[in-house]
Amino acid sequence: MINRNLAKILANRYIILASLLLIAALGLLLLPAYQKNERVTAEDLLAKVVNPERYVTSDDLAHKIITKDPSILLIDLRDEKEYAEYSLTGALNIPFDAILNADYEAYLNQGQYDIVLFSNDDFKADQAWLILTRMDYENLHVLQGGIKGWYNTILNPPEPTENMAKEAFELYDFRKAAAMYFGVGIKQHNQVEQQDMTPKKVVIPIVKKKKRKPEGGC
Amino acid sequence: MGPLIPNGILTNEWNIIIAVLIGLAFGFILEASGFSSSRKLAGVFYGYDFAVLKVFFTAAVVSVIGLYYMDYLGWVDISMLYVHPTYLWAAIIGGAIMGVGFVAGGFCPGTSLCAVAIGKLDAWVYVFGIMVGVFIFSEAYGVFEGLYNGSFLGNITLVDSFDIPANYIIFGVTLIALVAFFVSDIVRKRIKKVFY
Amino acid sequence: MKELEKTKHISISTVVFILVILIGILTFKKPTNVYKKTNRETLAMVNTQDYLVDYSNVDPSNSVFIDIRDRFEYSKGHIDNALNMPTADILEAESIARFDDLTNKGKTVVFYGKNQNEANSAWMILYQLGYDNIKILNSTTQLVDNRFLVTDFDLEKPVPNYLDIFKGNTENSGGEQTMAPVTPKKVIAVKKKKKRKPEGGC
Repeated sequence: MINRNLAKILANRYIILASLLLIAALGLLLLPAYQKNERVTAEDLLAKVVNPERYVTSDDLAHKIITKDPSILLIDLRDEKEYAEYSLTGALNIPFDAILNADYEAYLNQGQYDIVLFSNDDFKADQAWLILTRMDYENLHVLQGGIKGWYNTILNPPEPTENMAKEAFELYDFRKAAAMYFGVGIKQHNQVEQQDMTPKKVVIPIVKKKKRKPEGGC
Repeated sequence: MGPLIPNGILTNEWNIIIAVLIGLAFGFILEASGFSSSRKLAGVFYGYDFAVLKVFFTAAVVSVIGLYYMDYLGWVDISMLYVHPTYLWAAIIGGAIMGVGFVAGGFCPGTSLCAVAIGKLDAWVYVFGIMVGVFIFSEAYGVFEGLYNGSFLGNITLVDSFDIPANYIIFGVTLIALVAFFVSDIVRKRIKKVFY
Repeated sequence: MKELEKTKHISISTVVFILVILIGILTFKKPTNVYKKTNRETLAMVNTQDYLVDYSNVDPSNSVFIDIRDRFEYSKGHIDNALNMPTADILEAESIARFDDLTNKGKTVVFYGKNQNEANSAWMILYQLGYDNIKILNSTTQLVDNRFLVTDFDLEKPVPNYLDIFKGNTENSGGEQTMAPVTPKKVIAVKKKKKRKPEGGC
């Protein structure tokens, strides 16, 4: 009995399957639309914002520049004029307005270098960091204090007072030496030497992660 | 979540492993559907067997519906999927040539390899023919280059070219598929049965 | 019956397919906190400086101060009538409800922290989520002698004449106008993405 009923239903099996397919397609039409989250959700962004790891202190950065750490890429977010006047050694100029330009995407969106963003303060740099992080770019850092902080700590460090700890003096010595390296207060006879110090133009090709496109075909 | 590899859930090396697994499954399905018989494939053109049309159309419709449901549920990001670029005239002319080869030889490139696997002689000849064709094309690439790279439309889909939401296009394609199945069934009943 | 055997696989896979979709839809939750502003809109807004408000320009009747520092800092001293909401908590349901409420009342929300930068992240995230009525207090704040001081502070101003420090270089070089040591500009060759030729097809 059951078998016969089943057979009757199954006689129309193609019709049933076809109508299921139609219903599934219709379902897509009827589902209410909603706005999707981007890959980096606001919650992800907040979690990254709260984490202070993105900040690089100027001492760390000075050390890295002096030791010619090849893994850092400095990005100067100030405008061209300020960049032409002075910038950190080996920095690349991407004006703040232009950070979303397609021309610069290859610099900003890559996994090879640790990018250090800086501007006069760390305000603009932090905003750029937020915008770029929302786009899921990797290895972005912000120079704490920006150029102003750089000036106040490295180029023109405050002299420690007598009653300060030994570390403060060591730090001061390091900063003084670093300032010298970056060309502060070098006497004339050092002029030639200083030119030797300037690293040659480095050409570092960025090899983008090869993304193999899947290809179809039967 | 998905697609898995561009999102870094699986590493790039998995690409080839997954491709091999899918390839095995695909070959198995082709053989299980009887597509390694050239008579079955040619049946679409003579009207005595529409299995090819049904299998491929169903596969396309089911996967597009499934993908869009998964996109809706946030499991796969449709915008990240690879869309094959369209070179209009190259596709039209290439398609026509392949169609002729399809009717004349009774295989498509995929099924010909299936048929080679089960030891069909005509499939060997067919695959050899493909190689010759590839050789001729490569040698005479300069002649074809304009056609090959011309009329490039970008990585477009029906959604881009008609400017209709994807849901409507999917529904339309599903309707077309069902009508095609229905009509092909009627045609098959009218045509004299061929045993092969 | 042999025909039926053949369709068994199809039936099973159809049932599985539909089950997966059904389970997906039943367990589906709409995303909350969706970005309403694109990156470009945000960048444009960030460039206008409209979001910075001076302490003297804040209309107390129509504004609410929110202190985004942590609770400890807040307890030591804060602007009168300011609410406390640490940056880490701004996306909690409670906070979002409060922002919605304030937005509906047409009030302006003014974020402040130790300096503008501290308040910036919270402001930017909420701005991108579509809250237009939030501003940043254009001042630094600090606790001096148990009084909470709010000082105006200009952002992104370089230290005046900071290039003077390099003048030592040029003292004896005959009045040459080299201000700063020439920084070598890094040249990075960027490879264009290669378009892979289309292949395949059945």
